[in-house]
Amino acid sequence: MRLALKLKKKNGYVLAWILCFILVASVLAAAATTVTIVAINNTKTQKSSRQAYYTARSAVAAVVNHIRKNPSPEAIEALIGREGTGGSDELGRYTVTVSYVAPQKLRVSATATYGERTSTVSAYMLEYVPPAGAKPTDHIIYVDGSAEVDFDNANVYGDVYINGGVRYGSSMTIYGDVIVTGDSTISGAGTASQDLISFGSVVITAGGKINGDLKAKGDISLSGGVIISGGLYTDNSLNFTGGGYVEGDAVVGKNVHFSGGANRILGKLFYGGRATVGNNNLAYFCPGGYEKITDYQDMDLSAYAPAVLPPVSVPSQTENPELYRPVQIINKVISSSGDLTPAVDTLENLKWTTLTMDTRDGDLHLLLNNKSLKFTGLSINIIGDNNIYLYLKGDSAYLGLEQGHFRPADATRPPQLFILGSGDTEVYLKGTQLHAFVYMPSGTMGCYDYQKDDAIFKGSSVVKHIRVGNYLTLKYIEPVLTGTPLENYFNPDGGGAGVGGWSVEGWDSR
Amino acid sequence: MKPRVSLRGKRGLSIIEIIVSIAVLALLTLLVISVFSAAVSIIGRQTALQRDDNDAAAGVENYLAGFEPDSGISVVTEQPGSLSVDFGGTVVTEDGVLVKGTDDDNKSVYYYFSPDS
Repeated sequence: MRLALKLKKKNGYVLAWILCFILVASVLAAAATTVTIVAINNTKTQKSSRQAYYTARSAVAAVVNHIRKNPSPEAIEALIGREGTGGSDELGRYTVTVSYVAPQKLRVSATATYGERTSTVSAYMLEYVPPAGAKPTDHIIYVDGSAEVDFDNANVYGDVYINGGVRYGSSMTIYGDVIVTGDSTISGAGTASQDLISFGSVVITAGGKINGDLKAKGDISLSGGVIISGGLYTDNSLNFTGGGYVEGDAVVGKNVHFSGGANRILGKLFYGGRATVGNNNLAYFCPGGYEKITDYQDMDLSAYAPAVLPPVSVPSQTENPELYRPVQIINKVISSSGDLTPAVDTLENLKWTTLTMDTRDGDLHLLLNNKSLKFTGLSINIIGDNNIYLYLKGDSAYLGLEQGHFRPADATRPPQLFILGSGDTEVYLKGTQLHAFVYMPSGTMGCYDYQKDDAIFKGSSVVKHIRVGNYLTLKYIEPVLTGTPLENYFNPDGGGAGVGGWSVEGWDSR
Repeated sequence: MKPRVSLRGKRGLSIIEIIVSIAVLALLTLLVISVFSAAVSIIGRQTALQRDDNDAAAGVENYLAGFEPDSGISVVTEQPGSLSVDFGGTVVTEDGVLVKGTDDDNKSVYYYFSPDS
């Protein structure tokens, strides 16, 4: 203030003020310039850091992809404890490490350097282990819903899985195990199976027979001369009336009740609840002895748990353009992939003749897109060593086969036809022999009127519903899924969908 | 009433003093203007650099998120490529695409490798 007053008294003080102002302005401008230059350098540094981040993330993504595609312990072990290196002009240099952070958890970490800046990105991967359980294609019939199979004198060769309830009888003989997740009702003389495993209750009447063990989580009710050739096991109660016997032991978690004739349990009876008998003499019904148990443990039937059925993924036009081109039928021969839908009228007019599907040049991919196709009197022979994948797409897709066959020309060779249904599709057989693997998790299959010694259906059928007529034979043939669209649908060891593997749980960066 | 101030008898500035003063002021003004204009220019450059950089990064981020980039902001191009990592003899090579994200003026660029799933 004093200086200002002093200056004011001198001549030329205005000039001095102006000089001061200019000096201050120059200093401010220089400061602004310096700050901006620093900001520019920061921007360049930030750019290098960001590119280093993308580079590190790229390297992690590549190794994660490699682990997903090569999930075997050996392939992963080859990466553990080693420092992987790489680089390119565009991405800069990077190093990658893979380590276990838990028994089923991996960390894939990459550090990248770009323009003297480094960035580290990590991905955490979790191993997916499919649950134990049944493998759908191990069965002649795998039904993912309730099934009413009521047909006379039928023979089914192979295991049957019903994810729901079931009712069958009338001399239906199943030369394989029956697994039911709901309740089972079996009746009629000559009706038989190997093991019967039920997650619900079991009612067997009127001469039904089990040529193996009977295992149930729910109550078991036997009446009318029922024979169990193996043992009987239930977590709940047993009500055994009106004749019949169990050749092996019977283990009952809760109560038992016997009435009618003697000698019901030929082995030994173990029971956890109360025993009520018609004449107050348990030994009369259990000549092999009996014992009350106090530490009964429920049965573990997890090995028979139902599988998750992945929906069919019909290839898109981009993925498989051939599938959407109209199929070529030349001299009653189909030798290339294509869409059957535009040719439905032509195919339906091929009656009482033979159609050849030629796979000698490779697999055939055929499509029936939301339309009904009904063959009548047509014998379809497959030649060549490759497969046919017939996609039924859409709820209106229906394949009817009447009075003919659809099988390899050499009927003794394994089925080459895969029928894959996407939606509420249907395959209907009437007087027709079909050799195929049918996978329609939301679809229906019907079999009728093939009263011959040979089987109406050979292969394996995984469907939502099944309807079967009288006097039929069905035979299981294990499908070879390797190299087919179904290859990765199931765990090879049974159980849930997929073959197991690794998935990314989350990302981290610093 | 305020008395009138008479300039008579007072001595003014000589012509030399005025010329020198104007010259000094012009010189200093020129200096200040040049410094300020340089500062303004650098600030503008920094702003543009930052914007281009963010635009290019937005292209890659959109790609990672599965969105189409806004062509008025950034451009994303893909070319086939592969990325290799050598784990001491075990070489992991994944095929995929090299993603190039640039701003709409192609002044800033970022690269990202996306492996084929």
